Amino acid sequence: MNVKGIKSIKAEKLYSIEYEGFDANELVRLFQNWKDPNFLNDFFTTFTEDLYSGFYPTDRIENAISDTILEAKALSKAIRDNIDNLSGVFFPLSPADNESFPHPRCKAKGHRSKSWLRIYGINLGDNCYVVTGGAIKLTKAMGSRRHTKLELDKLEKAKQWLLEAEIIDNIDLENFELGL
Amino acid sequence: MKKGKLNGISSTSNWLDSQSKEDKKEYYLHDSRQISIEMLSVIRSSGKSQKFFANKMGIHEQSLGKILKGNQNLTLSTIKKIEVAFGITIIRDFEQERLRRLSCSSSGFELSFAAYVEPNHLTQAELHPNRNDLLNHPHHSITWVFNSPQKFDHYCLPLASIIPKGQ
Repeated sequence: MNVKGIKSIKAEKLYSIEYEGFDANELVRLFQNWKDPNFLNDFFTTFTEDLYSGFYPTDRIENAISDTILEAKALSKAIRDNIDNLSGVFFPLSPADNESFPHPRCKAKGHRSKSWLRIYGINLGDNCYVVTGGAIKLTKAMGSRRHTKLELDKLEKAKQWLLEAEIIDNIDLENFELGL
Repeated sequence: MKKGKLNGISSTSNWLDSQSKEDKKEYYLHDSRQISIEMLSVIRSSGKSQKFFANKMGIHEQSLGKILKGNQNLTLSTIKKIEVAFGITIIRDFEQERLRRLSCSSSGFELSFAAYVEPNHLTQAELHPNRNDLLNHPHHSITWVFNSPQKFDHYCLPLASIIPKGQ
């Protein structure tokens, strides 16, 4: 999946990557899907086993769809309400992505204590974020399912693209890759 | 980070505006999504395709796809088509009102609803009507009296399946 471009959601605060083969940028695409019962029905039908695995407390696909839509609405509102200071919405993706790194990978989650909604991005610093993708994460590890593993690849692709577009520095990237 | 470069290569997305506009439509979008979820549940449990249900509704599959996205301001005509094709009741308040006023004269049943009757005017038997009363006395007129709309709903709505519609 190659990067096609980048959209400004709010200048110097929030950007969103566009990928080849998709009409909408990632932020738009995610919220379109997460509020679409037909998309969610297909998704939860495909991943029924994960849904009922006990990792999240859900008993019916209908409830999973309703919960996802409610969470998506709340997450959309949280981003809009905090658009000038998203540091309370985005958190480091993993312990390795702590704030001391130049451009750590980050994630935003739904409001439930155990939420499966994820928006993934890169923290550019100065309270500015780039959304690289997102997923409904029904398993503990991102690498264990193809659609969440793809999000790790997209984070990497987006990082490379930001470097080639000279938006982040070489020195930043070297540190980023080395985990320094 | 080079903000100048970032601003130079990015075009503006209208996501913030579109979300605000969507908020203003939420008064019907919520219901539209709930209807879609119920329809999808029927499709899933039936094992039939969306095309099958589109045919039942007399619409194109693409039109059903749009309805199932849950972002349509559905007309009464479409809602009635959905109710018939999917066997679900969407406009429930009207349905409950119909049942409260129900009088099944053709089969000899009579269900009457009298609101706000004092509870001490009711006997224990009158308070516990059931499906068997209806089935065991097909040619008798039975009047059940309830002291609140809630009691009527509690006892009579489960009987809806054996009461013909439109009477």
